[in-house]
Parts: sequence; C-alpha cells; structure tokens
Amino acid sequence: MAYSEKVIDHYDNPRNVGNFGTQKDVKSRTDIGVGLVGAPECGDVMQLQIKVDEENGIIQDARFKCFGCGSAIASSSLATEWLKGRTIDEGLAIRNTEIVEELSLPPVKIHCSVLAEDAIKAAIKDYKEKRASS
Amino acid sequence: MAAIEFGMASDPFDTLGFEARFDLDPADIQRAYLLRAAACHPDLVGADPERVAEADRRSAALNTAKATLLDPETRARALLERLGGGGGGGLGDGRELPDGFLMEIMETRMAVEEAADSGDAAEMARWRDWVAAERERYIERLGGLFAAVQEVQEVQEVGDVGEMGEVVEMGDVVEVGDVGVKEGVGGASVPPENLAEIQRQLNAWRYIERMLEQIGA
Repeated sequence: MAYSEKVIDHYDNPRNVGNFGTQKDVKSRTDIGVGLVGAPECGDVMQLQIKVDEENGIIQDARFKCFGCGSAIASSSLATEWLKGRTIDEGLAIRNTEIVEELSLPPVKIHCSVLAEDAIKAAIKDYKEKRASS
Repeated sequence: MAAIEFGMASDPFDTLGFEARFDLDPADIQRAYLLRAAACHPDLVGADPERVAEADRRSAALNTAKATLLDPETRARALLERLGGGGGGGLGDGRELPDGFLMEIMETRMAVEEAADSGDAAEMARWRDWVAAERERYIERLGGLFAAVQEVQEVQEVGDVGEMGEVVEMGDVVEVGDVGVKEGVGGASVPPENLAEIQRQLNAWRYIERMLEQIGA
C-alpha cells in the first residue's frame, strides 16, 4: 500500500518528537497533560504530551512518541502541529476525520487517526484532572 | 440457510474438523488440512464448472482455516470469538488491557529504541530474546485461560456432549473419521469475566507481536 506524500513527509521528518519529561517527571506538573493510548487492532502505542499556559488555557507546545506504522506516526505528528496555539477546547474539537483528510489515509488506516484523536482527548483530560485536583 | 453455511465454513475449527480448543498440535492441523485439501484436488473434482467453483471455495476456506489455526495468536482470537467473546462480545468494548500495561510497553519500547539508537548490538540481542520469551509467556498464559474455560464448560455439559454432525465434505472421497467429533462449545455459557480476561491478555499479546514484527530477528 502506498503512503501519501504527506504521510511520508511526517514519517521522514516527524514534528515534535519526544516529551517534556518522563511520566514520573511530569506527574506533578499541572501545566502538562499526558495521553497514553494504544490500538489493539495492530499493537501500536502512542504518547502525547501537551504543555498548557495555565493563565489562558492555550496549548503552547506538544510532543509525541509513537511506536507504530507510518500512518500512526504521521497522525500523531500532525496532531502536535495542530494543537500548538489552540485552546484546550479547540484541541478537543479536532476530529480524526480531519486527520484522515489532511493525510489522505486509506480506510484500513483510519484507526491510526482515531488513535491520534484518542491521544489528544486523553492528554487534555489528564491536564484538566490535574488542574481540578491541584 | 446460506448464512448458516457461510458461518460454519468461516469457523476454522469446524472447517478443519477440530474440537474448539487452544492446545492443538501443528502436525495435527497439517494432517487435517491435507486430508481435506486432497478432496478439492482438480483431478478428483472433474470438469463440472459448479463443482470446480465449489472446490475452489472449499480450498480457499481450508487454506484460511489452516493459517488461522497454525498461528497461536489468530487461533486464540478465533477461539475467543467462538466462545462468544471478541470484538466487544464480552465485557466492555473489547479494547481493554491489563492495568498498567500501556505504560509498561511504552517504557519498554523507549528503552529498546535507546539501545537501537546507540548501536548497542548486545543490548538489542537481549531485547529480541526478551520479546520472543514474552511471546511464549503469552501463549502459555492464554493456554491456561482457555483450559480454565474448558473446565467450566465440561462441568456444565456433563451428559450433554454429543456429536454435532459431520463436516460436509466434497463428494465421498474422504472419510472424515474421528477428527469430525466436536463438543458443543457454542452452546455452553462461559462466564463473561473469563472472556474479558482472555480479551485483555489477547490485546496485550498484540503489542508484543507488534514489537516482535518491528525488532524481531
């Protein structure tokens, strides 16, 4: 199956790879949300971290780490690009279908975009929970 | 009627005439396959287009069934489905994992990547051994979980085990014999929590297989 040019671009030059610290490091950071998700269909695993300006709720930065296929890497790489500069509510509004469209993902790779959307939601949920309990 | 026939044919255990269980011997699977595949041989089928088409369908079904049963992971999935679980058929949405598993696999994958990036061949060899051993542990674990389910069913079905009817064969060429006997697995109720645990372990296993695909020897 041929990947689209955009997928190959993200795969060859993934944006914002890494993290703001290990799970332990960022656990006490109320400005950082971590989303860790997996796709049981294929065994891909993806971690997304967001760094939020707590004053205005704008996502300043995002990092991802993904062990998966090209489409999963491209989906999460794209997600980090899209998240930067958005409010957390705008981040929550990102739909996997937009990722599918942007990357021209074929039907068998749609679950990769779902994984990215799940990661976004999980990271924002984690951020909100940390804020609420601090 | 057609739907029932299709359903029967798509169950790999039925197709190859096995009782639905996890601990199947690969040699037995091969033997059951060859026995049935012979009946679909073009030399035996003749020229009647309908029979040729039927033999082709049957050959394809046999090939799929053999491949599914030979691979322990797909065999486990087929068995879970047969037991009424799988794809959200059990508890939850079918995507659950053991507690803390994702975190562990993420950390493991990062450690492996570090070893790969630093070109540490000895460390990579250790990881390859680890993931291969981990696969064996999952096979063993699933075997134990399926055996436990089977015990529950046997208790439920004392006096209720019969022959469910022979596998339909092409023509009269092959005597199915004793491999066609099946227990009434489909009818027994398996505790949902057992199915849920099988699903969780099976889901976790996929991540190990994925790792094996990506770093395996």
